[in-house]
Order: sequence, then structure tokens, then C-alpha cells
Amino acid sequence: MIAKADLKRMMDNIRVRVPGVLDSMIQLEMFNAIDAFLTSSILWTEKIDFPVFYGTKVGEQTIVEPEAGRIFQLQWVHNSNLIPQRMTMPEEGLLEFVDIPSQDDTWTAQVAITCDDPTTREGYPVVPAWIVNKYYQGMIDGILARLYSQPAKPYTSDKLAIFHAQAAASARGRAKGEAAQQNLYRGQPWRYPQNFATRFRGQR
Amino acid sequence: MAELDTVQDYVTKSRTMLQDLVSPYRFSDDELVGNLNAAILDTRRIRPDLFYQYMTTPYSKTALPFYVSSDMTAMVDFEPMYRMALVYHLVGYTQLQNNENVDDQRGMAFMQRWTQILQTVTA
Repeated sequence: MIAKADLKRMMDNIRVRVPGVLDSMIQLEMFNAIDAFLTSSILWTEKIDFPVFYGTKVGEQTIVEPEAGRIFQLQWVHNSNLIPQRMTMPEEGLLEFVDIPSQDDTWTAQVAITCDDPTTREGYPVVPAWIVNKYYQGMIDGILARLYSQPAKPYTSDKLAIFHAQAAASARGRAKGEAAQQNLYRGQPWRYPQNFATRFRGQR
Repeated sequence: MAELDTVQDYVTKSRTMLQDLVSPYRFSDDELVGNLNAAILDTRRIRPDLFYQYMTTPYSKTALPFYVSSDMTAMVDFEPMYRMALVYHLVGYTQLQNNENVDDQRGMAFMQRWTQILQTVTA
């Protein structure tokens, strides 16, 4: 699951670029930056099978648990015939029936996941190796931005914080696009310009 | 084993900088160890990240280290690259406590060095 070599490479990169920083602080901000990266890019998903039973009523709930990390978004649910089923997720990992099963069955939920406590014994967040391999430069930018923006440290720097925050935001956007297209080249080359974005203006 | 591991290491280093190497000492062990505690408290204020292991977390709550003069062999668990900052604070604070007023400038210089090590912006 976790790519220790890559996370150590990230640590080495940051140690060199941030003079005087403590390893524990790098790991603290690494968790924050990777969490921000995963929640905004929706890269890490998992399909979880769960049993459903005939007689379940609308509004009843069931719990699903990912292999690692923390569920923060329910993407879709289908039954064993691959027919979509409506469910909601009022709390992380707690699924609520909107459609009810017409027979005993196994449904599948696809959920989006981010890192969570506990970390590994060495203090690194648990993240799939492929994500770290592919996006470690964007993650480094996120960690650097957070470290440089800490007040009253030998390495505090507004300019570098802004520079790396912008690079990290760009990497997150690219990752989100690639995840949405399932890494398919030219899968959907055109996107709506930013001024068409409405989801941050109160739209549900 | 590294430089400035124990309370005794800090006291010895401080005595060198205070030019107080001949017994009977001008500054007692009690005084220097007390000032080491003060250095730790002051450093915790401006660089909380250096005391990450002492912060309250859901898993632990550990008080900041506190030493007395009988703890000379006790380990001072502190990031090696910032240990000299504690020495500068300890020496500067001790000099400023001296009531002869002849070493104030030297004391201020040491306190300034403490701040420089911990907070000087390098980027």
C-alpha cells in the first residue's frame, strides 16, 4: 500500500529546501498536504461490496469500511446486476438506503478515500504507492507551501509559500482531471472555463 | 552520543562561555540548571515545533522537561541542530542576572544569538 521509498525521497527533498525544519514537522505537514491533495483530486477510490437484505426499509443504514484511510465521498452504488441504486452517506462510511433491495443481494459502493490516523509506525500517512509515485512533486509543493507559511520560523517565506501553493493547486487540478478521465489520454480534452464553475457559490 | 546530550554538558559549555571554570564557581549549578529550564520554556514559546513530542495529543500528554542540579546525568531530549540556541539563552540569561552591570552587552548579544538561531529568516 504505502511507498516508503518515495515518501523518504519527499522527506529528503524537503530537508534540503527547508533549512532547519524538523522531521516531525515535515511529517505533520505531509499528512495535511496529502489529505488536501486526495480530498480535492478524488484520486483514491475503492469499491466495497456489502450485503443487503430483502425487507430493508427506506432510511435504514449500513456501514462500509475501506481497506485503509477514511471515506469522505460516496460516488455511486450498484447491485449485483450492475444496476445503479440510490443511497446517501450522511456520515463518513454510513450508507442510508433510498432505494430498497428487492431480494437478498450484494451491492457495491464506490467511495473516495483520503488518508487518516493512525499513520505508519514511522509517522508517514498511509497512501497507495501509485499515487505517491505519480504525484509526489505536487505533494512536495503542497508540503513546502505549508512549511514556508508557518510563522516565525527560520524558513518562513511568504513568496515561496505562495509560489509552491500555486504549484500544488495546479498539480491537484491536473490530478483531478486525470482521475475523472481515468488516465485516458485526450479522454475529455475540453473543460468548462473557470467562470462556469458554480459549485462553490452555494449550489447543491 | 552527541554534543550537548546531558544537563552536565550544558552546564560545562555554559561555564566555558561565562569564563567561570575555576572552583569555587561564580555561578552555582542550581543557578545554571534553573536557567536551562528557563531557556526551555522561552524556546517553547517561540518555536513550539521543537517540542512537538511534548504537545498534547489524543495519545499522550507529557510535561515539558524540568531539571534540578542533581539531574546532571539526565538527557536533554532536544533537536541537535538547535542545541546551541539553548546554550546561548542559558549564558545570556545568566549574564543578565549578574548585578554588576558590566556584562549586559555580552548578555544581550547571547540572547540575540538565541533569537537568530531560532527565527532568522533564511529564505
